[in-house]
Amino acid sequence: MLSKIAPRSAIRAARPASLFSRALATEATQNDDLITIDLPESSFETYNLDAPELSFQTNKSTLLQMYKDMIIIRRMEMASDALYKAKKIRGFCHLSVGQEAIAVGIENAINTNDSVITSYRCHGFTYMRGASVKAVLAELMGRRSGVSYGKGGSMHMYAKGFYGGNGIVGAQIPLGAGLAFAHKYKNEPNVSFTLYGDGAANQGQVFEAFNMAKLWNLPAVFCCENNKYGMGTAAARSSAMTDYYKRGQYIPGLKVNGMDALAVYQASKYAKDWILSGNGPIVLEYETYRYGGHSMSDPGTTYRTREEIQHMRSRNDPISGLKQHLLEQNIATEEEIKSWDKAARKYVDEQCAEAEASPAPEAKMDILFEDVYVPGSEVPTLRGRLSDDTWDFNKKGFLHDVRVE
Amino acid sequence: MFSVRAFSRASTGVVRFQNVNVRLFHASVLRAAATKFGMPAMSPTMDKGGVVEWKFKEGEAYSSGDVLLEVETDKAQIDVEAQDDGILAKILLPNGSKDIPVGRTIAYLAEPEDDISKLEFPKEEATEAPKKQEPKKQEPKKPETAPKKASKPISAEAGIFNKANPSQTLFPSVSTLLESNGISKEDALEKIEATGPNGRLLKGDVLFYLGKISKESAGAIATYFKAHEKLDLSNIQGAPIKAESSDSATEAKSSSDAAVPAKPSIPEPKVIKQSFDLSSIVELREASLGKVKPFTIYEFVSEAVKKSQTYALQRHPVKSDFYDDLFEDIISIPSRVDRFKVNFKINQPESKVTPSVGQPSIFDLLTEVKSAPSTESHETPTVEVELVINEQVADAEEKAKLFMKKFDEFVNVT
Repeated sequence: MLSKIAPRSAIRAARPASLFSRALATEATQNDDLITIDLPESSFETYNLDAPELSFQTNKSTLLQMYKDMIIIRRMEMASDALYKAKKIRGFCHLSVGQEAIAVGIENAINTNDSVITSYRCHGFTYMRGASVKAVLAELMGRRSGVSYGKGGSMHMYAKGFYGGNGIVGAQIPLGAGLAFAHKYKNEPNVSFTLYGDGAANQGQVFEAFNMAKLWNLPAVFCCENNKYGMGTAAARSSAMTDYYKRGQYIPGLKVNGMDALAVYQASKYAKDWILSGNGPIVLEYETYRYGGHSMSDPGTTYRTREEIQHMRSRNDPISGLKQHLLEQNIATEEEIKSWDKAARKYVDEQCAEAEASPAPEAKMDILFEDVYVPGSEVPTLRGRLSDDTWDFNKKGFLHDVRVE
Repeated sequence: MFSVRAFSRASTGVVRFQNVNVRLFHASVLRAAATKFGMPAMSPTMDKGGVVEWKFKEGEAYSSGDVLLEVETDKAQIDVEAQDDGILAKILLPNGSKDIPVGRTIAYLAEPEDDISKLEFPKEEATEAPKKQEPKKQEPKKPETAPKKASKPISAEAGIFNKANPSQTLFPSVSTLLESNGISKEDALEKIEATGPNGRLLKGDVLFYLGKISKESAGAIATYFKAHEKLDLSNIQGAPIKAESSDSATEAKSSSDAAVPAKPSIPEPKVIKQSFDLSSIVELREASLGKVKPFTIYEFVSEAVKKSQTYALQRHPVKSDFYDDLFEDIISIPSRVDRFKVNFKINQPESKVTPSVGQPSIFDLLTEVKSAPSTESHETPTVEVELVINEQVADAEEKAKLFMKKFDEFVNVT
């Protein structure tokens, strides 16, 4: 059963080669593998931009992988929710149940050399950029096997080409512009995807980043994940203009149905191509919905009705939407999909149990300082507030032994 | 919001996984197992809660997003949503149950297609699990406090416990404590020794007076402040003058203090090796006889090494709209940083092998001179270049490759 849902990390390991061979294979097995997708007209809205093609071709295997990734992310988020309520995860925790299509759609449209940076709602992106479910859940539980060795928690997860969850609202946007600058400086054919919420879109630093990105024509995709509610407030109550894709003013924009993984995929791919043909930055708005509260301390029903949530769940769910595609195009049968769902649940449960069984970091001072510098590039001593707090990297202890244990 | 199913699974652990396994491979197995649904913690501070009302009856099916029950905490009543489809198989704790510890099983759930009449209920074990965890967490704290007391005697006790200043306003914490223990203010100022600044009574002083904490604890803060009230600059050391001498400094330190742990073992350094044919140099040497100052192969190779090294460490601008020397100065590693060490060995066919690592000895030079006429043999000399890369520098390997490229250009002049 498990082989049907291959863990992402395993796919990742083989990715550079497989990606290449897949591109070649497309030519050879065109009629077998390729299918045509027709997106509804309402998928895109544009601002100073030509809309992407509504009809495009893609591989069956891409579609299947997208579906499997989405159900794994959802299961992972549900497991996080349960662990939080069993008090095994403490502190901050922001879940993306309902918003899975964005992480999955973007990842399939870009390659490993592109960079992604996002806000604190980062579990799905971390998984899609190559971290295992176990590593994400272990990080949440503060285990040594976590992506940040159990020291980062929910908001501080990283992977190769993924510059993390960022705890400060909106602070990742200038950083994303910086990542784009690095791509341009090194003359690489890559772009940076910077994600932020509709709440963060009103931050001043967003517009500073927009200005510099346009001024220097940086390969930056600014992606607003508009889930319609900030922390406790509806977008319309906090924003003078809720057309976030028009917020770039001098930067063209594209509004995308963020509840459809295929629309997200097509838009992200379009954005990347558009930038790489030298057009400068672009603003995307993925219109999506989160089923849960803003964070674990928000019941999520004080500023919206339960009927609204149920309506979105039953009508617009990204997973059900893609499932419908798979069934309509005869790519998979109902039974197959059911078996994947079960396998995904089993896989996440197993990873969860493994994560829970793995040990917490040892209570050693050494562990506290180990990630300040890349090993080997440390300064001899790291100054603390007091001379007593000065840490010696060679000695792996405080420079002056004044502490009495 | 609250994933009922995932929660119960997370708490029941392995038992459940095996069951899924069985059902996936043998569809004919009829008896499905119910999953436990534990009392959820609806806020990080919630330890206990009550069931206000179950919104579903036993045997009813629910879908994701439905409110399963209303839970009461010390602060509010909160709806618990199901995130997965399922059937409420059995309710263990009815409406109105109070003070249920978080994690205790309050109901059994089943999957949508399960037949409830044939459901297998797991044995009640999980209830005890969360309770067991609590004492476990407290255990490591205990041994910590014991040695602390033993090993930290208050050295300058005399200066720490002073007579209380009679004209002070008591802290609220102090006056409350005195009040609740029936001590008058006058009595307190008379009898209790103060550790605060200028004879101020602290809460710890009263607690010590009441015999609730040890003298060490009462004096700990004052001792710490006393130790740090004067800026102690005695332990400031001059920085080592050269970066290289930091090694010798640590060595000296470790020899003086045997307890210092050994330096972390450095992984094997990466080495790039390449061998070059020197026949074109031999030809070049013959052709240039009389035109330029005569040179030996060794001289040529060491000069080529030097020149290639200079070339490699030079800045090589990337082709970019933004390339700027000033900016590059900020972001790049300075050229003086050691990227790699060069070792080379010239193999000459006629004469004996002349190993020369770095600086040549006088014997190298002598053999070189002697072997000079013998280079007219048919076999050609070669040079083996070995670069030991300093992997701590990010661009070391890139620079080493540039070195090899340039060196190749030097020795293959045609």
